[in-house]
Amino acid sequence: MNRLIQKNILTLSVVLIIMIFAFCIFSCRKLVNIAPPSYQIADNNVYSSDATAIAVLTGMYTSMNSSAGPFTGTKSIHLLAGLGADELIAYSGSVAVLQSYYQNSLTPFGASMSGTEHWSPLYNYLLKSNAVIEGLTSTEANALTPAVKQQLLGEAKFMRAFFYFYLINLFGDVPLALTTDPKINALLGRAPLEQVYEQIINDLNDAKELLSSNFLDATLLKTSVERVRPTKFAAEAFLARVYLYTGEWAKAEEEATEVISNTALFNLSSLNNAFLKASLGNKEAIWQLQPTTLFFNTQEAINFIIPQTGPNNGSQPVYLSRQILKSFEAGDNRAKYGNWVDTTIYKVNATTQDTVSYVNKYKLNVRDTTINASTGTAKMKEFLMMLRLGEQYLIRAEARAHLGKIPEAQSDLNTTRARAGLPGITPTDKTSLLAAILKEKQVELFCESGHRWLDLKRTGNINAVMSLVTPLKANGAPWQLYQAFYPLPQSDLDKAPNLVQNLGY
Amino acid sequence: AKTVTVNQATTSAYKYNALYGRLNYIGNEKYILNLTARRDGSSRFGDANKFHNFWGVGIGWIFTKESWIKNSFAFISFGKIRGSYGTTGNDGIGEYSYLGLYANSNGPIPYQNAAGLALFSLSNPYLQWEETRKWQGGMDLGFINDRIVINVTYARNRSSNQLASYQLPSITGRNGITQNLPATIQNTSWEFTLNTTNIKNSRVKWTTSVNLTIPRNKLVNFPNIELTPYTNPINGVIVGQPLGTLVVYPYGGVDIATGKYLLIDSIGNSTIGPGAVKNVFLSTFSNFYGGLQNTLSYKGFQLDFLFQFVRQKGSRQMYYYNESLNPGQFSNGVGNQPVTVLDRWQKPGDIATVTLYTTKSISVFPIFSDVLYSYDASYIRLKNISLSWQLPSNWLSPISLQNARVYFQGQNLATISKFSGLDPESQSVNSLPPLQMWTVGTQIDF
Repeated sequence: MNRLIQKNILTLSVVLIIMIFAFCIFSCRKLVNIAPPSYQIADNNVYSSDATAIAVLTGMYTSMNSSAGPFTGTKSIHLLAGLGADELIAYSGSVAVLQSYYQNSLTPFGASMSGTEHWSPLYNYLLKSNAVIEGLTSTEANALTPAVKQQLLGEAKFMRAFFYFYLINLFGDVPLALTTDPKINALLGRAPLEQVYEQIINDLNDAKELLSSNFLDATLLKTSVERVRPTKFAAEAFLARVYLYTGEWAKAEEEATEVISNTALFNLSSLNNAFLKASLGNKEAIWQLQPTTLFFNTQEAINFIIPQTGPNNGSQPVYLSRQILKSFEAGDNRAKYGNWVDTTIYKVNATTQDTVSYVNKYKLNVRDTTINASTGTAKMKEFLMMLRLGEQYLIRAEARAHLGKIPEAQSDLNTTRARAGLPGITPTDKTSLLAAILKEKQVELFCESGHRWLDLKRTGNINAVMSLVTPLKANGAPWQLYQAFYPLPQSDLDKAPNLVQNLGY
Repeated sequence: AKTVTVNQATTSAYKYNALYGRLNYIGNEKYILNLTARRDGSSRFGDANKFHNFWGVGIGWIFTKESWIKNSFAFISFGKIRGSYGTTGNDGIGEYSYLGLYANSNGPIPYQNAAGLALFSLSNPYLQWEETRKWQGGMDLGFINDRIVINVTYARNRSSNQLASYQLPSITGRNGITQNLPATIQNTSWEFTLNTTNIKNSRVKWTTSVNLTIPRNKLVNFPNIELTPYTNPINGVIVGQPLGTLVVYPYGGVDIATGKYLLIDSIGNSTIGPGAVKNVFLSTFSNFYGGLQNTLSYKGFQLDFLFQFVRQKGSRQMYYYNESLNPGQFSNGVGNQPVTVLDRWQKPGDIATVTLYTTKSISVFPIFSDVLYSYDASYIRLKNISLSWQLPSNWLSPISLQNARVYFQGQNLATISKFSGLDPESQSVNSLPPLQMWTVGTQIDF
């Protein structure tokens, strides 16, 4: 009996030892390693070669201009902010979201939830920008060509500042996410305006040092005629705008002068050349985005130009308001049909007709099969304008007015007026000068980049203007002060423990 | 023919590797010991976490083989006490979740004639195996020569390091990320089985089998839940409660005087809103469930039938929340109303279940109160029944048939339930319940 038990224990021990030994040998990591999928690149390989690192930013510009989002299409900032202000009318049969923007009745709840359209896309772009900055400052990026790395870092910081500018001006205080780490970002609270502006200004000043003064092609080593990537001048132009918004007039004047004085690169174009691509001689462009859709130029031409069938619930749901049309002075060439405004008569039903006017800055809305992958941009004529010289004159005019430099301010104001065929004006006191500049911005920059909505807010005129305009748009409903800021999405308030909603919603 | 273009080709690879060993020991036909150990590696995790060890131990004692039991408890023909404890794991996530990846981002016309890339996923090198610890204890008893067999088992499983799609607020730039959560979820259950051989002789055989399961689920702990999106009770992740718990108001009925919906506030009075607090926890898990199966055979006839029983609470969707609307509210394409909307309040003094009709918006209290889940959705269902008759061979040989059988099968033939929604098993107003099926057929072998 003893020997049997002994034999059993011996067998047991031998088996155990073999098993333990086997475990140690056979946990071979090679057996469970896999390469990344063939159609994607692992992030530690993206920032170690020039082509892939550049492709990340090229991809960002592509998506800004190709998918309906904050920068193009019927849910863009320029369209929705134009509806909210006094520039655009929403067609009566258009979707509830557009009606809510138009009637200044945004609400983050319920079936016609609206106001939160730009929040997630802008934070998604911020994640991408932060990922680029982190990638370019990692050790893999030491393998990049220094000039390429520098330009890319400048582009990424410029874009980060660009996105934050829109977030704070549309929503108010916003969380300042400066890393890709979701654990940190999910716990952010809303950072005060000053802190975000400080970040924007730092990023733009860094970008100013890093970005090239040449317009570059996709290799970042050769110059290009097209102006579709940010440059030092884009950073300066945007800094000028940001300084205007933060009230730093002297710096705004300084940055605007940097751009305006570079007459070799920048000049006001004639009215109907102002939105063409740079290679067609349009030197007003500081930064544009290249269209990437087959057979078409810009989405904006498609969305703004009203066809013979009239405005509709599809691609043409908006047209110009009476307020903007009445704002043009007599003799303003911008309002002359065929320049920046045009009109169409359409049949409402069998017996009645109606006339609408529409934005005609982008004129090419017809399908053109010569625009395709093999011809590239050769057959395109219009690019989406992001920053242009006309705005810089008006920024400098306003900055100078605040600094008391009245004659210089008048001269800048009259530059865009002259281009529009209007005589020069000379308001001599600061108040009427500022009012004239605000009016000139309204008629020069209408339906571009949300300027009207943001200018009204920043100059303190939003309540005065909207309390007269909103009742006309919303069947008598009054303007409510809290509608000046868009609401935060309820889904984020549920998931981020430190976020609070804007007052009034 | 037009040319075919490939828009996108995707591939994914998954490698799994495991080594497993088991040791069985049976001593004297009554002492049982099981040991298992395994080491698993999965390509779905970061380099540091691909491998994980799992193990288990089980013991059993067939006590009816002990001589001193045999003498004193002879009526127990078979008795076994068993227990086990082990760990197991889960790698049920998508491939490449731990990798940071970039994917193509191009329009039909390339930007500056060059390629574009976009961030597809962020790297998460901390992803690792989810682990579940299971322990189980039970007893099997057989009486009267195993004509009656009873099994009782109590099991407790705890899963930790949950692999979950962690929802993120959009300020992180993403909607979600797969991550291990430090939550510990516990599932316990009591299971009872009774198998009886009621009659067994050369002509008739009748066996019965009954089983009953009492499951319970609980979120045991979740450290730092306040720092995660799950801290909001709307997600149903509450420490100490089953997962998916709804936190709702206590419902106060329809006011006899005014016809409005009422809630009950924190001091017990009825209110039309102010003072009401969401302090009721509702779980949607069933209380218990089980089945009763009988098999009866007599000569060539065989009858099997299975009853299924469940005790649970169900949703009163037809009353208060017609899947997308308040009953009574019409919308484009959705117009049918349940008959229950007729039981509405019309004048003071009415006792009704539905609030008064109005063209203004109505209060939606029922949807956020415990009345939404107050239906008794327990049921007993004749899940399937099968009756077949094998023709006797002396009938078949004259016609040289090898085999002939006639049968009838039915599924979901009868349901006993107090539930007056549509179907207590699926409890949905817009998807088909289990269908009642009748099948009749013959099988003939030549």
